[in-house]
Amino acid sequence: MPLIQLKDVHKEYLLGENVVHALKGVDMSVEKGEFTVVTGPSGSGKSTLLNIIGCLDRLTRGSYKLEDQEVGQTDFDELADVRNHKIGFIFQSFNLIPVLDVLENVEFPCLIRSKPEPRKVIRERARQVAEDVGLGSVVHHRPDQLSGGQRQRVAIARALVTHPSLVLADEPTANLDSVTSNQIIDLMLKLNADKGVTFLFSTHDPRVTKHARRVLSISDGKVSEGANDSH
Amino acid sequence: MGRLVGLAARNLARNRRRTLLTLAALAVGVMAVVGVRGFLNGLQGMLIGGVAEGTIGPVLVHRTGYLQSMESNPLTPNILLTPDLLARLRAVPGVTAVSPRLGFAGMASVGDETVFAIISAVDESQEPTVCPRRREYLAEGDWLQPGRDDAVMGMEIARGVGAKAGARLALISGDAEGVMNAVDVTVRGFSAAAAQMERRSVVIPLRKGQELLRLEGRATEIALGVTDLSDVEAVRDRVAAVVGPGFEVSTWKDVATTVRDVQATQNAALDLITFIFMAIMLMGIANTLLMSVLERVREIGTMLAVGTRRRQILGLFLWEALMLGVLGATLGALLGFGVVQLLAVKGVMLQPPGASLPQKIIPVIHVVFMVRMVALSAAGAAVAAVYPAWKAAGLRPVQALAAV
Repeated sequence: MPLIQLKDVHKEYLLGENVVHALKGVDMSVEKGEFTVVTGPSGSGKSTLLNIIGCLDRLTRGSYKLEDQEVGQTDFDELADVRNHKIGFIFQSFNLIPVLDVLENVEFPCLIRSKPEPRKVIRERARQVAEDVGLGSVVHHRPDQLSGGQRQRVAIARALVTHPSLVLADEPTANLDSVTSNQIIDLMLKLNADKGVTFLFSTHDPRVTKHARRVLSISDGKVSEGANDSH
Repeated sequence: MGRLVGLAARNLARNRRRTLLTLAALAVGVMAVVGVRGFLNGLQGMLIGGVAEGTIGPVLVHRTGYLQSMESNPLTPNILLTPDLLARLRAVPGVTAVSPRLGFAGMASVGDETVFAIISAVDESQEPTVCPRRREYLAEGDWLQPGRDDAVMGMEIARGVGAKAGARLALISGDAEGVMNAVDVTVRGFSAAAAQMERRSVVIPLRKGQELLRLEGRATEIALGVTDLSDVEAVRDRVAAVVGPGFEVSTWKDVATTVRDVQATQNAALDLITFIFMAIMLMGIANTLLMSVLERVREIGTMLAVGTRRRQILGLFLWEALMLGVLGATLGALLGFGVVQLLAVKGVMLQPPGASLPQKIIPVIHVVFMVRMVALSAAGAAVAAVYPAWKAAGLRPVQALAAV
């Protein structure tokens, strides 16, 4: 059973008076443990596809199953639960909550659950994940006291703390220098290899693409299996 | 919820200057309302005290129908003062003193000068207990001495007839049958008027009034002193049960309707001022929160992305508003309390309309009012936050995350 399965997924939205057909019948699936990259030029529909897969947006028609559960037309609160329990997000701009320190940012997804685990358990897990991504010495720092690379590590820790089935990363290295980008990519590869975390990236960055075990190309709203020259 | 409360507090601390300005605006508004309320409490206390403990008395007993006919016929129906009636009144719980009175109009004459007077004939020993402020209003001289034919005149009427202490004062009035009569008294003291109508007052012993009106052993009303002025209604009801249906029992509020109306008007004006203050302050809170929402759209998008529910976002902003409301109002209430306490140390001298002399107002504020202001501010802040909070909670994650 694939982790995610999209069948004939369409996404249309209004831009002024024009209907934009962002996804035009996408068929794709991702298996557990994959390290997949979605590439494509700007405006090709990468972000729309990731938004649909990340349950941040709803598809116009078609079918999207996450762990065999149909989530394409689920209501808002249920989607929030799906995101919280099954999906981790890593954003291009890190998107940390500025008033919370590292540990608090990491544990945030666990604390907002309707039935959260005991605070001590959450804190311990957050501390462990923070250490796993190399933030052990800065757990009480606020985001504005961290470097770009450290901030992205916090975002990775926050994405992993709920033990999600899937981690979506939207251009995770776009705002990082090459050294830090490589460190972040290595970290994600390690997590994929050691812990079996499934990653799905959207990126233009060839450094990310060359490490991907699978590359999907999106063009004009359609996804095709792409070749990875480096493998 | 604890997480949201903590996050709300930190969000408020994020833009300290804006939060402090909003808090300051709220605090100043609440302080002003509390201060004005304290001053009004003092003013109303002075007015009520002047009426209930200075002239009219807290509780009054009349013959049934007297209050309806007193303007045209101030001497009937009157009360036969039997020892049994007076003893029963004294025995009512909450009653401290019983002072029979005669109230009527007449002429006051010293030498060749004669003026119109409003005459009160009172039990000279009981009256100061029923209306303790009568002694406070004494501007010069002494109160009536038991067994002596004395009079206490209003300062203005005394000036009108040129009466000095020790002067012989002739009082002339018609009795119940309309037959004119006169008595002589000695001017013993001069009282300051707490209100316009008291400028023409002359107070004499009850027995001199009875002699003048040929109403021996009778009074037109019996004033009762009470242990607790805020408990007059209960005392009134107990007295009514004791005296039975031939009498009507009233409180000062029933009789001095002008004071009650003035009090109601002042309270309504303060309510209006409070409403306007609150509306302005709460618009400030709504503006603060709306700016906060607009600045944090992307952050809200992130929170939504990691699984925060809409109602949690709504709750977050409502908490921020509640904190602003409670903090600002508490600060304002405490400052207002301080201002009231400060003014109460020396009091505020004010001359009410019609009064002879300035009177001291002691501002006072009740904790219940301050708590009510804080609760009102908190509730108002929550209402003011509904639109910004709803706007934040209504954001779609995709749109919010795309915000710059």
